[in-house]
This record gives sequence, structure tokens and C-alpha cells, in this order.
Amino acid sequence: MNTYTKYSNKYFILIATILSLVIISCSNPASSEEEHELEAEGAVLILNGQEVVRYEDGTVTGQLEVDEGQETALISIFFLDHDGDQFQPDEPEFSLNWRDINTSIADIEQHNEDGKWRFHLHGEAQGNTTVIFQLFHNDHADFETASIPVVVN
Amino acid sequence: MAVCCTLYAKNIPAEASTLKGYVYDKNTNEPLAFSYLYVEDLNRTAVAAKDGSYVFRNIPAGTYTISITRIGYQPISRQIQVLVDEEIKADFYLESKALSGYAVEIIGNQEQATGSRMEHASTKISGNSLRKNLAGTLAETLNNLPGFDTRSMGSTPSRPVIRGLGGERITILQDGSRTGDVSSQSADHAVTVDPVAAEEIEIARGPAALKYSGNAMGGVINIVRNQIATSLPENVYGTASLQGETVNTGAAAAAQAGIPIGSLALNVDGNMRIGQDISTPIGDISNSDKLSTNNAVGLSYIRPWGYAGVAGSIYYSNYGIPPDPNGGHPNGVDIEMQKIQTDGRSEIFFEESLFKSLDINYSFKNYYHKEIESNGIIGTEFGVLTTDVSIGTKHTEFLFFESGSLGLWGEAKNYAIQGASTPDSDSYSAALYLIEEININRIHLELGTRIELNSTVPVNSNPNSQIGNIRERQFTGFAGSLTATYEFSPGWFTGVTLMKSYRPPSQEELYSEGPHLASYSFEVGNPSLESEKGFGKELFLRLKKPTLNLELAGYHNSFSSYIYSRNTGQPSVRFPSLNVYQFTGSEALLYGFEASVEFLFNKRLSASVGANYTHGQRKLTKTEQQLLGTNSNTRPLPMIPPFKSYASLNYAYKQLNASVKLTKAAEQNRTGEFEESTPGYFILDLSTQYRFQTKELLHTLSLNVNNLFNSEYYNHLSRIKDIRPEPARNISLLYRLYF
Repeated sequence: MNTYTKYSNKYFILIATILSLVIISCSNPASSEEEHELEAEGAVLILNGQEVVRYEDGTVTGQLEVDEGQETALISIFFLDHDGDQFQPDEPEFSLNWRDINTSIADIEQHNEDGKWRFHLHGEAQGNTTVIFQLFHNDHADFETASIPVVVN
Repeated sequence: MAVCCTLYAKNIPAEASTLKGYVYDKNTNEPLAFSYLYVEDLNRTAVAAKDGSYVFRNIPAGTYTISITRIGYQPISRQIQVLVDEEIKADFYLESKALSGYAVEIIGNQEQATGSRMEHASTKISGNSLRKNLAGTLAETLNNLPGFDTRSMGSTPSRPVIRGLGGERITILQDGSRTGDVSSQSADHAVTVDPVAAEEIEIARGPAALKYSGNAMGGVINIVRNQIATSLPENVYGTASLQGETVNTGAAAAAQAGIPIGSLALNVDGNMRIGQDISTPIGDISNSDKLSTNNAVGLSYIRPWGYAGVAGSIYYSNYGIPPDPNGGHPNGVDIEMQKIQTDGRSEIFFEESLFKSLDINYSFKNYYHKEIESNGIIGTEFGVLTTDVSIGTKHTEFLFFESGSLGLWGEAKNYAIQGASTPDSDSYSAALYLIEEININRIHLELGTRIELNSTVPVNSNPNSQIGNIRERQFTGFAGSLTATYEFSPGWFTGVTLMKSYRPPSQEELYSEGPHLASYSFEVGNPSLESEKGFGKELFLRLKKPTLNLELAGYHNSFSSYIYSRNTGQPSVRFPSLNVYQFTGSEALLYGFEASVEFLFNKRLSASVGANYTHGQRKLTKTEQQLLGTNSNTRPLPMIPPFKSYASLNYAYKQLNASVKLTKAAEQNRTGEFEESTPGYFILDLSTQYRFQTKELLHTLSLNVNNLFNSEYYNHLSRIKDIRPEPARNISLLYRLYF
């Protein structure tokens, strides 16, 4: 009994530490309750009411063009679902992102007042580059296009 | 089962016997401190004190096999009979030898009084051999064993492959419990155990593996850390290790201690490993750096009736996946991984009973990792909650069975991925196993069976999903194995093993749908996959003589539905920079052989040679034959190791042990779809170990040089074999202190 009393505090701390590890580790940190209604499988870019780029079935048709030192009018992106229907997600956790563009040749500009699915392309210097657009869901991409050609004249 | 055992158990020991004695050097009669003694039947350990003395208290009456190992000495095993309330004295004499094969020993021993009680295909690596082969990962540490290869992807993520079988077909355990990570599903996921923390590593195939999984053919690897002590140490004991290596300017530190406190044994251990980018003969592999740490504490209450204990551990790792210049992630991906684990275990011993013991295990793991792109954006997150529970018992002689074990095992696993369309899902598994041993004259038989029920439940069913009808799946399977070993002449053994394996498709194989940047793939599951069933045959011949070890084995493993991730060669529509990898089931066949011979010229010098080969193929469907325009109805399986052979010389003199090993791998041009072939290569490795003892401390130094000639070579099982060679010359130094 004396031995038990002598060490009881140490044992208590140790067992409490181990039990606390159990308690703090009982939920799956990667779990998501959200259900994705629409999944993007393609995208189209619309400029001045005209479709200038389409990415569908793994193939890109069209290209983005801009003159050096100029910027395009607003370009809208619409995503294509499995049936080829266009949509733009309404939920706040979705956003547009882009990558792999050579910003010394061309750059993408977005303004808050234009909405999150519209942007301008700005020509920095004559040349060719490419850009990949991504549909972001929180902090990761749900979809991305193939490389879309960008030409600065 | 617990009630049944208790009813049949006549007597739970309140007081029991003591086994004590000394361990000596056979030639000099000097006491051997730090000898490691293990009572196999009771799963109890002890470490000899500085005067060579050891004590096992509270040993129930019975006959036990005790094995003794010590650095630089040949391990031995002996049978000891313990009577009720008695003090048994037993001294052991160990002999220093150059025969390295003893380091990788067969559990069981032909020197025992009766029968050939070799537990087929069960090996363990410890002591000299463990330190000699100790590398940064479990797979690299085991890579020198016959039939073993390493699946890798950079410096940290690697996993053992045995006879061409890897992934879900190899079950990795830590202290008998599943690791709860996702290393089996993808090449970029690391195993969450650092070998620097291992006291020993056990490998089991055949009947012995069925206690842990239905993977009788692939096998089970158990990393023994003894976080929950099974016996009460007489004094504080432990080890401290420091390791450094040049190939990545890396370092590792580890410490472990066992502390007696009354009837309690406290075990603490911790380790940390860091490394910069790995260098190769053609330059550094960028983004291959790593950092990991694993720390654990365990407390065990030890009494004559047995023991009960709990343990908790935390694992953290952060490592890089090298860039893929062909797409996917041109700047590489970082993986940050963590695991919190708690374990509970108890074992109760019975005297004069049909049942020798009852053991109960509980383990909970919370695993999480995230894959971070070079711009800091999280690509994919994986979370797995795993709870394992098992209860088992060992029995004494019963009917015509000499000994055996039976038990129940259950597992619940919650699996979730963020960054993909894969639904969250739960899986529930339950299994009943029975393993028995029979001796009939010179024939030793082991048989095992395992019946398993599995249910996999997605949180949301989706009959119209793009990957198929996502729904609940239920599987029932039977795995069995029989090994017959015949000692036809003293030291000569031959035998056969038959294995029927079963494994249900995993949650990721059923429901995956999404990008996996770190493995350069867009993974697509198949909700209609059937369980994987295989049938394996093995013939073997073994010779164990004081001056000669020989092992020959031929095997033939066929699968009715071999599940693997097939590179379709088609870019994903949703992520065109990634190819679609489709989980698919196919008829498959793997066969091959292993051979090794080791000869002791004299007490100082030994030589060994060995070779192993695996041929893997899968059956093509009629549609595939038409698409490929081929009349052949088979195609090579991907990621099958090439023919490998080795020759080595080992020299031992007093406290010094040195070896040189030449390994040759053949070209592998039998490749799967969209898989690159790899050229053959030679590599030369050197190893030197020196040990010395001060008053109360044993010191060991291990100096290894791998790839001495700085050869550029490619591991066929590397996921990045087409763009990155294996590491350049590496000089590593390991210092380990035993106290």
C-alpha cells in the first residue's frame, strides 16, 4: 500500500497523459461532410460573348491573345460538368486559381468587383506562354485544365 | 474466449518459480554482460547484468524455450523445464563466430532435444545483423535478406517487397499491432516506424502469419520495440544510438530505457532523424530531404499471473517527394505526416491447464498526412483512424496437437481523403484464427487457418458515380497454410508449404477518385472489385551445420484476382498532367527461387553466396489482346524485381567483425504497361563493426560503406527509376551504447 501511495502521482500523470492522447485523437482530421454536387470535367473561356478557349475531353481548342502592354476585356470562365453543361460554383469555398504562366510574358489580373470567375489577361512582352486554370475548393484544386496557349503580340 | 480459458484454467499462478543463472563466453569463460535472453513461450525478456547474471521471476511451471543472443556471438536456444515454486539455475555459453547467417536466424533450433521444430519461414534480424544493415527505412534495412527488395520514391517513402509481393500483401506490425498508416497504398507514403528504434525485426510467412492477416504468401513483418514490457527488469537498462551518413548529410539519434519501479516496468524511447537532399552519381535529388521523430512511453504491471500495460506514442515526419519534370509537380511535393497511437496489452498465464495463456490487445491509431505543393497549397490530405482489438490463447498438448494458438481479431477503420472525390468510408473486419503444431517422428507439421469477415461502408452511397456504383461491400474469406518439415538427416531439412491467401479490397482500391500529385497519378478505384485470393506452393531444402548453412526454396504463387493500380497511359480529364491509374483485378502468377550458401572456413573467416529471382505475369483479357494486337494471353506485372545475386566475405577477430559484399542485379526488361526497363548493375558494400566494454557499458561502432565505387544504378522498384538513380557512395557510422 505504501508503494502504491509513493508512486501514485507519477502513475496518475503517466496514465492521464496516455488517456489524453486517446481523447485528442478520436476524430479524423481529413474527414469532410460536404457532398460535391457538380464536378468539373472541362472549361470554356468567354471573351466579349465569344468562346475563345474550350478544354473538353482532355483537348484544348483555341488560345488566349493579347497585345503587348495591353489587357483584354473581362474573360469569364465556365466549367463543364460530365454532361457538358456549363456552371460556375456559387459556394464561397470555391475559387479560381492559375499556375505555370510565365509572368514576364503575360499575367492574369482579377478584381474583386468583377467576381471570382472573371479576369483580365495582361500582355507584358511579346512571346508565347501557357497557363493552367484550377478550380479551387478551400485550399486544394478540384479540377485543372491542360496547358492553354497564351500569345502576346 | 476469456471465459472459456478461465473455466479450463485450473490455476492462475499466485506465486511461481524463478529462473536464474549466468551467460559466459564459451572459449574464455568470461561473463557476457548485455546478453539478451528471451523466453519464447512467455514472451518475456531479460538482459544480463555486468557479471553475466540474469533473472526471470514469476515463471509458471512448464517447459519453455529460451533463446540467448549477444552482440558478436552465435545465438542459441535451449529448452528449460520449470517446476512449481522452484528456483531453477541455468547457465549458458555462447560462442563467437564469423558465420553471419546466424544473425538472421531461423526461430527454433535443430539442437533441441526432439524433432525438427523449425518454424518455417520465420526469421528475425537483430544484434550484429540489425546494426550492420540499419538504414534510414525499414525496407532498406531488410533489403539484404534473400527475396527482399525495396519499393521506393525518394529517400523516405519505401516499403519492403518480398518475392515480388508488396503493398497490401505485406502486413507491417509494430509490437504485434498494425501500423495504421497508408504506406501500403501508394509509393509516396512512408512507413511510420523508424528501424533505429527496433530491438529486432521478425518476419513470418505461412501458418505463423495467419495470426495477423490472411496474407500467408506475402508475409508479416513485425518491428519489436517492446513498448509494453513483458518482464520486470532487475535494473535500469537501455541503449543510446547515434548515426551519421554522408549521402544526405544525415543524422539519427535514438535512446531507449527500461526502468523497474516496484512491480511496474516503465519503458521510454525516442528517436529523431534528419537528412538533406540525397546525392547520386549524377547530382543531388532535389527535394529529398527528411525529418522524422517517434517517441513513446509505456507502463506495465507485472505479477506472477502475467502482466498488463499501456503505451502511447507520437510519430511525426516531414519529407520531400522529388520533382517530376514530365508533369504532375515540377517542383516537388512535401509530405507532412503524424500519428498518435495508444496501446493496451495484457497476458495472463495458467498453470497445469489446457490453456497456457490468454492475451488481450488493444490499439488505436490516429494517422494524418497532407501533401503540400511547392506554392504552399495543400494537394491531398489522408486521415485514417484505426482500432484493433485481439484476444488469443495458447494451448498445451491437446489430442494429437503438440501446441497451438487460437484467437479472435477485430478492426475498425475510418478512412477519409480531402482533395479528391473519394468518399469517406468505414471498414469493419473480424477474424478467427487457429494455428497448430504436430510432430510425427521426424516430420514437423504446422497448420493454420483464418476466417475473416469484412464490411466496407461509404458514408454516402452513389450508384451513378463516375467510377461505378459506390456502395457498401461485404466480403468473407478463408486463408490457410500448411508447412511440413522433414529432417531426413541430422541438420538436413526439406519440406513443403501450401498457402491459400485472402484479402478484401481496401477502401482506396474500392472508392478512390482523385489526383495524387505526390505519386504522379490520378487514382481511380473500382467499387465492384472482388477479394484477392491466391494459392501458393513452396518447396525448400535447408542445411544447418556448424560450418555450413544452405537454403534453397522454389515457389509458385497464383492469384485469381490480383489487385493492382494499372497505369492506363491516359491523362486524366480533370487533371491532365496526371495519368489515370486504375485499380483492377487480374489473374496473376508469380514464381521464382531463392538460394543461399554460407561456409565457415575457420573461426574467423566465412563466405556466402546467394541469388533470387521472381517472374511475375498477369493474364490479358480478350479485349486487351485485341487492343494490344498480341496473341499472347499474358503480360509482365509491373514493379517486379530483377534477378539478383550476391557474394560476400565475413571476417571476425576478437571484437572486430568486417565484411565485403558484391551484389549484382540483372537488367529488368520484363515490364508492365508504360513502365521503363532498368539496366543491370554491380555494387560493392563494406561493413566493419567493433565492440568494446567498459565497466558497466557495452559500446559498439559500425562503419558501413555502401556503393563503394559510386556506381550509377537504378532500382527497378523505384517509382522514379526513369528520372533518378539510386544514392551515391554512402559512408555511415553508427555508435550504440548499451547500459
